[in-house]
Amino acid sequence: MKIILRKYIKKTTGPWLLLISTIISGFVITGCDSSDGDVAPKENFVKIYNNELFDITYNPLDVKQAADGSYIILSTANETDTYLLRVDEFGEFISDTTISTPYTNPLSELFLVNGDYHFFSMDNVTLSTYLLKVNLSDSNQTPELVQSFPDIIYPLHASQVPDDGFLIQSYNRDARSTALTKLAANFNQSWQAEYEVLEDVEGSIIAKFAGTGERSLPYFTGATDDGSVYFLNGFFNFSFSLLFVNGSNGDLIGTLNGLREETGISAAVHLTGDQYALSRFSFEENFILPNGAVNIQGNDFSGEIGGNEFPEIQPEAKVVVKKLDINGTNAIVYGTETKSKQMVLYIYDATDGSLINAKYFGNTNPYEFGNFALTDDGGLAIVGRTFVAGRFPRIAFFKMSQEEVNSLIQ
Amino acid sequence: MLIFTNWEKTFFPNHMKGSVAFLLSLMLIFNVKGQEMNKRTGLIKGSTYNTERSNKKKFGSFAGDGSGGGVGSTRWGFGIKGGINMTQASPDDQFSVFSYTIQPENTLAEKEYYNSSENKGFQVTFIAKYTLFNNLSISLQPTFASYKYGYENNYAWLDFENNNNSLFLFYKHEQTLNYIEAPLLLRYDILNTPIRPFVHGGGYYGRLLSALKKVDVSGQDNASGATEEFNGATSTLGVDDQYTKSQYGIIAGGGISLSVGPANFELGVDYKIGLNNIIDESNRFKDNTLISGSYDILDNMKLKNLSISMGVVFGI
Repeated sequence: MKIILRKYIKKTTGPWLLLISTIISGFVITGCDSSDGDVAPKENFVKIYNNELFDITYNPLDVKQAADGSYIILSTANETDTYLLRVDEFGEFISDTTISTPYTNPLSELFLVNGDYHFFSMDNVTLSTYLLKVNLSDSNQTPELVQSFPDIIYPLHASQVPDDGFLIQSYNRDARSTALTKLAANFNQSWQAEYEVLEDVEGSIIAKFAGTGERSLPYFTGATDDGSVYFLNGFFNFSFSLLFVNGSNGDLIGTLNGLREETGISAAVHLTGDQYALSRFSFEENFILPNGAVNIQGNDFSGEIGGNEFPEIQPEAKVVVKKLDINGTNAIVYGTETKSKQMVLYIYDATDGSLINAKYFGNTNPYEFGNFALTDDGGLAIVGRTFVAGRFPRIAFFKMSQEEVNSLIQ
Repeated sequence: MLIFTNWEKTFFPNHMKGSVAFLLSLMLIFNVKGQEMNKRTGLIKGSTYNTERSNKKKFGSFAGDGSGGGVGSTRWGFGIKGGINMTQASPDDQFSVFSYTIQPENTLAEKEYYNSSENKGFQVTFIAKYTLFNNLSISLQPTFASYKYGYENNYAWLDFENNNNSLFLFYKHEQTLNYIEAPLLLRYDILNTPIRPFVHGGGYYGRLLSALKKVDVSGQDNASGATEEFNGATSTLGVDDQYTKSQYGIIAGGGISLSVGPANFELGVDYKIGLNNIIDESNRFKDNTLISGSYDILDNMKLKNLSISMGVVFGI
């Protein structure tokens, strides 16, 4: 009986064993892609910070990563209040705080000073300027007042310069002039210079703070790599112009003039020598100059410096330009928003100004650009606001992994 | 005309009588045809029982017996079966585009998955079967399977100072996953009677052919001074990239087999348990339309599936 059984098994199971082996091998080989994927949620995610409040609005200004991997988002709430949102490394909400009077209208970005993030804001009554520190150890995120600047009225923009000091652009309503204040790294004032405005522009200034629907003009400040020249984009004479000033005392060197409020520069970053990466607006058109020569000692018209027109960019769009090192490539990254209400990043090669890639964010519901920053893992954090269900302005956070960012330059 | 006996009534609930009647009708037809064919060939005369006895001689004592002929009396069998399936999605980790800054009270932000009875799909299977021993056989069953699973969530925005201002959105998400699968099963026929219950078990490997997602949005808008209820657009998207190309798992099941002539009619139930996450995590946040349009991203999950099939296998 056993002999018969053995013969039978040998005779009949051979082809089946072969078939089963083949199938199992096939499973093993082709089943490799059935893994869960190797991208951790913290490397790549999209989050929208929602709530059930019907009539609250948010407008994010900046995002930075803290030492513990969490993110801090600086935003306005209801146009004028300061709103700080902290989320964990996966983008999940940790805490938030809304600061109304007197620390309203936060400026532009978060600055890392001695391991803590700081930001400037305005007193909504006296119109003076405050420096506040984000208190990460406080569960309520209540910021601490670091310093007051009673002489800096209507603060419009702040930036950090190569000597770790700060520039604050403001508007002196009494003297009708644009002011630039240089602060040392310890926040003591180094100097202040003013640039005469020959007509009353306070209405435009107020529109920026109140969010009344009029155009919010692209005020900004910056510096060359060596810190010898500072620049500011604001009102000068009769136009909204880009001014180049001496980094040691604020003396005016040259201008790139706009045409009233209709033509001007919307973003700029210094590359090398006389080369700048710029974007400009002319009525409802937008142009990008990723690598343009600028005569900083001249008195030129910004409408004549050329550039590539981008018809897809939203008229009056906010534009942010930064130099980033992406996987060893010196890249110039422009962030803005399109007429189709998407956020977009344009990535250029800094060496020759060629467009490498464009990356779009958002679909269906409107998105407006906020800001972007490199993250500790080599990825990119992009914030903006979206109108959830087409109507509720909420903060949107896109986290790109290092792999995705690197793929932008390939 | 078929009349259900007490025995059949015991085993088949009322809602299955139609199917059983259909199956028995087919058996009778094939039984008659089988006998006629045997008469024409002249190889084996008489009933299917004689056919089986002849095969027993041919294959010795290891071939099936007592089965009334059909596949039980031969080593190879080929056939086809089809039926419906019901899928239960089992999320391991849940994800959401929204993160709430204030704990919602009127929002169902987390997905509420439908029960399997609401997730009906279908499958068509080709059967290749080989009898190893008396009642033990092995079977490869290439299958086209279409699985469905769904879930819903909803969102609310309210003006706490003005109750007339509110918006409610209701989202229904239905996913259809089409796989080509290769289950490999070991089967044991419990009895050697014309009506043979059987059990089987094994594993399967599936290859994703396509994945579709249908999103249905409706809502109630009270912000316009009056209550406006709307049934928004239903959109269908291809979401192949959101899923891994492969899934695998184990199967257990059973049924009854009825031998008539050269044919075995089978009615069976299978339960599949997926063992791998079918979501491609690397692509979870890459679909702008899904994220920004319907605020939806897929949870990590495995599928469990119950299928009911009817078919026929011919012995060769």
